[in-house]
Amino acid sequence: MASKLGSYWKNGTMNFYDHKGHPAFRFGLWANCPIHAIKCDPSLAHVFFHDFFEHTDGDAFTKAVYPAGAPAGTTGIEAGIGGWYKTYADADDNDEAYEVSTGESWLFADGKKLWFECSLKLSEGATNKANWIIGLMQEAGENALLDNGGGPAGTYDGAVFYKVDGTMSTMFESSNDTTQATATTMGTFVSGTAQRLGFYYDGTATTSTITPYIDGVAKTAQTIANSGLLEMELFFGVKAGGGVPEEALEIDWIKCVQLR
Amino acid sequence: MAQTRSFWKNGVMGFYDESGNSDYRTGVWADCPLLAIESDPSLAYVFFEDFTNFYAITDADPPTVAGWTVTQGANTNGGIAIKAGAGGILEIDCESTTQHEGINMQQDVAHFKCAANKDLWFEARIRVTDTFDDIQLFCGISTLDTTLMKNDGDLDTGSDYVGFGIETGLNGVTSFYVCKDAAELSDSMGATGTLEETTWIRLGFHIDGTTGIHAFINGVEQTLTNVVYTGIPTTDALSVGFANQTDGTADTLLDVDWVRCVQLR
Repeated sequence: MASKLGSYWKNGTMNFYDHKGHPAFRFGLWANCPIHAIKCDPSLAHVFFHDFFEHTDGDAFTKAVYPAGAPAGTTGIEAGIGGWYKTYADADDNDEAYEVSTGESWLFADGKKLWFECSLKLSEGATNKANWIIGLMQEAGENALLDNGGGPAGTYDGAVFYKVDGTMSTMFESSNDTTQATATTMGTFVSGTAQRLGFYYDGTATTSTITPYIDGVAKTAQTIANSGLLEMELFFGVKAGGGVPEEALEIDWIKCVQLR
Repeated sequence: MAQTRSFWKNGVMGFYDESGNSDYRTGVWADCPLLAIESDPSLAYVFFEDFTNFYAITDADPPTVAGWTVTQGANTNGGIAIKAGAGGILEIDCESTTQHEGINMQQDVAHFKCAANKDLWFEARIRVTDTFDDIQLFCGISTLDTTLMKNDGDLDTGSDYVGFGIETGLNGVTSFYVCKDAAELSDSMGATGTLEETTWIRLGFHIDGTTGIHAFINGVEQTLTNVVYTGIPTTDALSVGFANQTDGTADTLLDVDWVRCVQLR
């Protein structure tokens, strides 16, 4: 038997974890998320979870390619265990593809704690050339990642993990319009290796804290002013960095929970 | 009136409803760490289909539906539909009285693979009508195989599978099968596993990594004599699937109320 259930309390929330499978859970991103109360009581929170056993374009996410024209790679659920979704961008330098949720369903606001986490990987077609991005962004779409390894857009509301061509780092940025906090050396990106990326928005009034996590380990927190923020979409995307063949981002699962 | 209780089994705590399903604490899911999985998406894959919000089904030969491969027999008989009524029920209709005609329906990607320490739990609630003793049945997980239930009414031992089945001539008596590299092992479920007309039955199993295997009918563990853990298929990925073929005479209907399959990541 590969499981051993344990329970704990953190910040007034009781939770369960698997002491064999993932003992660090009780110190990580989801430790204070009242997921069991939420399961019982739908009035508490919005919950989005996709494990990618099946996905039809336009269902949870809609794919958009810039410039228009389909990449040669086959976007869809990959053969293999566990449900992985693979999405391609065309190989020409700065060609990009984004998968964006149907609605702008998320808003950083006073008192509205938010937890986001995903598991992803990218096997670089050309060494050190891929760009990718995932997280929450207002009006996510074309040039969410700027050309030529420029990173996330200069103006947006949201919080994103990303990588740019020319580096092998997993980076994180939060943004209120043009006021941005950027961490460019948060983690090492390894081609072909799955990484869990998440953040916790604490909903503190006026100025909140966003704590990023890589593989369950907390990184340096950032602050964000809540005033003026707009609703955001859940999204992920990949952008070519001038190498051949096409780059493809693979997603195992995405979960996002926010108190109503 | 519901009565929530808690229990422990094999180091795993769970909750159950003493009024609604008091046997839960000894059934398939008793040692599945669902509470931890609910909190922690990194722990397990969870596939659950209740057929209340199922994908649109295109009525064609064969029928098509997102995420599943549906295959008809040689004479292109058989259909699937969501039944009107409470609770969400998938009806798999063999639409024939010609022996070995019917439907094989499988997830189109094999998402599960048995491996050490990767416990897997499966359960489905099904019923058969018109008539229960004329069905050739499969309910479980298998390699991608559009003819898992062959045209002779037996399971295809060229594939790997774990699940419940009724092969030709068995008149509604289910057996529990594992098949690995053409080596099939099976145990008849006897009277406990004999279908009754238009009567729901829950068929489930727990694969304890590669060190144990347990079969359950209506939440009660069954004694396995021939099926042993060394027969668990570990080479190929497996997907959830159902087969309904007629064994002749009757146009059998297989209803699926829900199916859940969970595996530790």
